[in-house]
Amino acid sequence: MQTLTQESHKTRSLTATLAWALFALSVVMLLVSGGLQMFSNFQTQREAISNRQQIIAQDASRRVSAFIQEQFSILETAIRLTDLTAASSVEREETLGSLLGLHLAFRQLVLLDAQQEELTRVSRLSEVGSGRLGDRLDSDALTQIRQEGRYISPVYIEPITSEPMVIMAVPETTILGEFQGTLVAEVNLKFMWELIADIKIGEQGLAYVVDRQGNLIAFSDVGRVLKGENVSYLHTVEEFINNPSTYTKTDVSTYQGIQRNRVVGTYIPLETPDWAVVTELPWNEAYREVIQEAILSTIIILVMSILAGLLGVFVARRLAVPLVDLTQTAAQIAGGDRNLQAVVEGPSEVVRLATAFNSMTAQMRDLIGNLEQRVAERTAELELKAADLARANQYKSEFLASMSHELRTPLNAILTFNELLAIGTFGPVNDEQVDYLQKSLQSGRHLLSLINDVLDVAKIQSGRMKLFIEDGFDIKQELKDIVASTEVQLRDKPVTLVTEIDPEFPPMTCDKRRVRQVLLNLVSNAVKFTERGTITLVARKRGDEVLFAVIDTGPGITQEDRIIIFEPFVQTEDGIRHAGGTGLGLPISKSLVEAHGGRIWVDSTPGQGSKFYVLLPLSQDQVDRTTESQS
Amino acid sequence: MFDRDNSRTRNHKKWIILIVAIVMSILLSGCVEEPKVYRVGVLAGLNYLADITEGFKDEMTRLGYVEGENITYDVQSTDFDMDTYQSIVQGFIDDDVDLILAFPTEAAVVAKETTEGTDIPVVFSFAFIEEIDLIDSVLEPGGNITGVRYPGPDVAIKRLEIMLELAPDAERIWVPFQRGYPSIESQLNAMRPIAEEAGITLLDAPVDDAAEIEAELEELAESSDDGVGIDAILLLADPISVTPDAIVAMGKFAEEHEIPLGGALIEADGYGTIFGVNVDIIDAGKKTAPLADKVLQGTPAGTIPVVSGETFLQINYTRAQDVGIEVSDSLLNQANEVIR
Repeated sequence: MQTLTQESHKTRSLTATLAWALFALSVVMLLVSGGLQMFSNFQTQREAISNRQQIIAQDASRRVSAFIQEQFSILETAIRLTDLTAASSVEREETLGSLLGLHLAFRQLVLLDAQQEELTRVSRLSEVGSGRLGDRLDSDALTQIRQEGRYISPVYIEPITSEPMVIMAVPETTILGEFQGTLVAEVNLKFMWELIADIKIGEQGLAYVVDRQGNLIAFSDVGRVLKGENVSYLHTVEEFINNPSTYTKTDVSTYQGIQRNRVVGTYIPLETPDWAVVTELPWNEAYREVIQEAILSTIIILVMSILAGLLGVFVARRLAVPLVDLTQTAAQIAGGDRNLQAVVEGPSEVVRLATAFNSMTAQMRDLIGNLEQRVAERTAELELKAADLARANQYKSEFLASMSHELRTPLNAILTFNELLAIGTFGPVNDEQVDYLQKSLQSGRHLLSLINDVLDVAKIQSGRMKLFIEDGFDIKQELKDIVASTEVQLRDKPVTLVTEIDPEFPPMTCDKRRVRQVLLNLVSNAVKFTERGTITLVARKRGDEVLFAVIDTGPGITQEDRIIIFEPFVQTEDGIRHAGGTGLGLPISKSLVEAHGGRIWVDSTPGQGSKFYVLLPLSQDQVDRTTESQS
Repeated sequence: MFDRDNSRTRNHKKWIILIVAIVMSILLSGCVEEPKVYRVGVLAGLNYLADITEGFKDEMTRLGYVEGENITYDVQSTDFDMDTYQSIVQGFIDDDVDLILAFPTEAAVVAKETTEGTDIPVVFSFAFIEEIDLIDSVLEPGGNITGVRYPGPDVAIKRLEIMLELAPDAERIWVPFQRGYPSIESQLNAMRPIAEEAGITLLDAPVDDAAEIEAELEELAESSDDGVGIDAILLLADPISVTPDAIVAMGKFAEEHEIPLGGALIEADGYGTIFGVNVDIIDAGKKTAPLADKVLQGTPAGTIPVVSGETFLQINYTRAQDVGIEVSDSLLNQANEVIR
């Protein structure tokens, strides 16, 4: 159960996976189809905008051209209908006055004779305020007037009002083409502003007129015209400046427009004068339909995505709920409720799965039932055998203890009598007899030692080993005795005994006989196995414990042997070869140390020697004064 | 297991609520913004120019400012009363209007002076800019003001030129004007060189009202040998020239002595002038609207160039004939309007 829960955190559920998959698939399809539709609409709209802008720009250019043409036509009509240069000054003033009244754009009219002398002048404003128009016509202008029949000057700014002006001039000729004079008009271009302002380009579109230098001539924002703003930085204006007047732009550009907003725009050059009409439509307005369609498509996609998501959740749940139920049932069965059965419903595949699952759990129940019965039977058999074995072991230990005791009693008698014989208690004995008696004693003692070991093991294994704990055991003295007897044993060996005994070593509370037995066993083992080098006996206090170590430079013990040397009745090959014996010393020592609440272990490198450590508590407060060792 | 299902259900609900909230916010995003309603204070400083307001409003409507919907006008009219001008402008300041439209010249000057230190922009109309501390220059008016100028000196010169054409033998032209009116000096200064060149004497006559005009004219007549003392009366662009009582007084005198009275075309109680050179009042109002639009859209007024009003010539041919003045065909042809 816990495992299932943990896994559910790591992995996504089937319901979520199915729901997300259906949702993602739907969204991708909607996005792709919607995107293609929007792209197609955008392209179509772009073409439509281009066509519409071209038409509007052409209409705007026709209006501006018509304005200029109208002024020329008025002047030319006046010239054709009246022989102005030959007329009287009154007639000339009347005619020019009529022209002035005919169109507000004429600010000033001047008639020049063939020698460019001023014949008549009429002005809308004061005579003093207006400059001499004739002075504004240079030789190039005069040549153009004579050759081309029309002249229009570059735009200039009237200093008082800052309004843009142009000079327009037409020649007066005889019927034979002889040049008679020039009718010059100063035309205020601000009357063109209304034409431009009235051009409707969508809702927020606008038009403006620029000259070849990019100067703004007409625009609904007259302030910018009055300031003489140059807009050559605008994309379409730059195109106009860089292209000849015959070039016709056939598409629209998207750029930052004159009002600093993003626009689609185009321009139409006028040729005469060398101006261009630029039309701009805010990008948002131009592509409004596309934007609206895009918003609508986005909303539809969002709504459809939500529906797809909900549908995905519904379908996924419909598919996954029986599986989730099955999973729950499996989890509960795994938790021990083996009598549960999965609900058989849902899609046919799930029904088949649930049926198979129920069949499987039924078989499993049978198997588990049989298995438990067989395990119970086997367990009972094993318990019986274990009891038999324990009993046998008990009998063996009791037998060994009893036999050892029975063996020791006559053996002690034999040894006692042998000693008495050897010292001549029962009469004189010769040297040869003494020698035999000594060998007999030695063998007897060895036999007694073996019997004692066997007895100890038997006690240990039967749980009848007892420790006799005493206070104030001066281990230092005991160590000295051990060192002394060991030095005797090492007389014939090139082995040096080294001691590292802490002079401040405190008195211990322990079974001193058993502790001595342990230490003697370790030291005698070292003596047996060490042929040369050193044997070091270490005794140190470590907090509330004492550490004894016996370190030799003997053959060392392999890893495998280090595991078995503390097992009773087991000897390593080296042990058998070097010392023979029963192999009970170390197991007994281990049991005795552990009975004191201590620990014994070995650290050895084959070929370099061994280090046996014994760690014992200084006091035995937690140990009964008389306690049984544990087997 | 059930906890996990509940948690999953809660997560689904959160997602659904989030998506619905996003859709609703998209759908409703265009519906929350309230359009700003601009408030414009109009100081109509001369009854004669009241149509400026109408021209202004008409053009503002065309530009998308619909009265009552996104703009309101507080039109305060008075007739050349400087003290009232100031209190009206102060009222606009107290109301924290978005813009003040002021006309003519003296009202514009008061509006400019009174709004100094506030952030309320002023747009003027029908105002002289010459020899008056109203703007820095036509291209960069400075401060927080812009507007439509009245081309006063040009108009004054043109009036004098036409008067000379109508009365070519005139030697003494009486020029009455409102005493202390700020733009008088610029008009007189513009005309003096022309008069001097033509050998004409301009008789300056500062007056306060019709009675003073009457008295001045009587005095002129009495002091003259031929009983007239002047050859023509030329009106300047000032309040007195559009005051009906003053027109009656001058018209009666001109008719009685058969001398031309002209400058501004005006009729009062059967008396009137024979010609007028002026700026189209309604057109001046219309020209003011785009400037106000730019200001309301955030452009500092002082950076918007001043626009010039358009002049036009009107001739009352009938009245000219009544007083025995011959109007040439040339002049009639130049006229934008001829009253027959």
